[in-house]
Amino acid sequence: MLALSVELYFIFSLIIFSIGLFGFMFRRSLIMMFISAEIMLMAVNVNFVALSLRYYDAYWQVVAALTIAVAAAEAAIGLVLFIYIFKLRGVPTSDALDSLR
Amino acid sequence: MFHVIFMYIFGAIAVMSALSVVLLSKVVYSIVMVLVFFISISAILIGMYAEYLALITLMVYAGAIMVLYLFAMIMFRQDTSRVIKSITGVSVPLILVLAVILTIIWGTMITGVIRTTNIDGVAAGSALTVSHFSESLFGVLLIPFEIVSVLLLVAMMGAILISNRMDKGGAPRESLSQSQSPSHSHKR
Repeated sequence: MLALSVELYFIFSLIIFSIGLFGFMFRRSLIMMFISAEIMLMAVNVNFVALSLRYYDAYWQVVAALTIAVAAAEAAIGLVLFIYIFKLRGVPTSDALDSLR
Repeated sequence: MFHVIFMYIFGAIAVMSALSVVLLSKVVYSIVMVLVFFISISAILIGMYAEYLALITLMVYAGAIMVLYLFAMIMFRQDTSRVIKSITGVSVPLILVLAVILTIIWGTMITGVIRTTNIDGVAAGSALTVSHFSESLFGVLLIPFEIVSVLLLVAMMGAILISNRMDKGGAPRESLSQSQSPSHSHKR
């Protein structure tokens, strides 16, 4: 029988989070790493909203909204740093950041 | 029943678009697939009776952040970082193992071997509305809300500060650009 359950949403967000983590680890381009981080944040948001359905409380929806705000700030700062690194090093990949090696 | 079908259809679209974001080689295609991903996620949120959050997701992610990424992408040349061929040897058994594990979990959930928390009743009853949302936002979570507003202000100031420093030509410091290896020294 098919029924909606919280665990279904948990497994869905687990799959999405794993895909994002995979992209974060295996893509070399910095912009693709940021996009993968956004995918992971979205998986976390789905998890929070599933919790709000489970406990019938809007608290978790507000937490998800605050997460979206933090993600927006992260995108702004991250893209500025990204363009800065690109002007500094000339290549948009994470391999350019090796001056501490 | 309708919500279950809704969830499965848009969940499948979300998983496939997320996979294609990660696996496609050109960044423009990836960004378009990220748009598809966010739209399907907001459809899933509508199915979870979180309409306001779905609206926020559409406006902030699909409307603002992805356009920002597109603008940032214009600034450099086409980069196709092909890393897929280096991981195919590892990823096939890994994907098989993951598929087996997920099939076992999903099958036990559907056939009722594991007791799951049914939320069909919650969803069919009186759903959470925007008034619940705002009561929680300006009640329990008022201090995090204020902190997030300050955080957004600081992020905006930081972005302006760094881009100002870039415009003054001080970004590629002479000492830095001379000390690095010649393979990285070509600048536009």
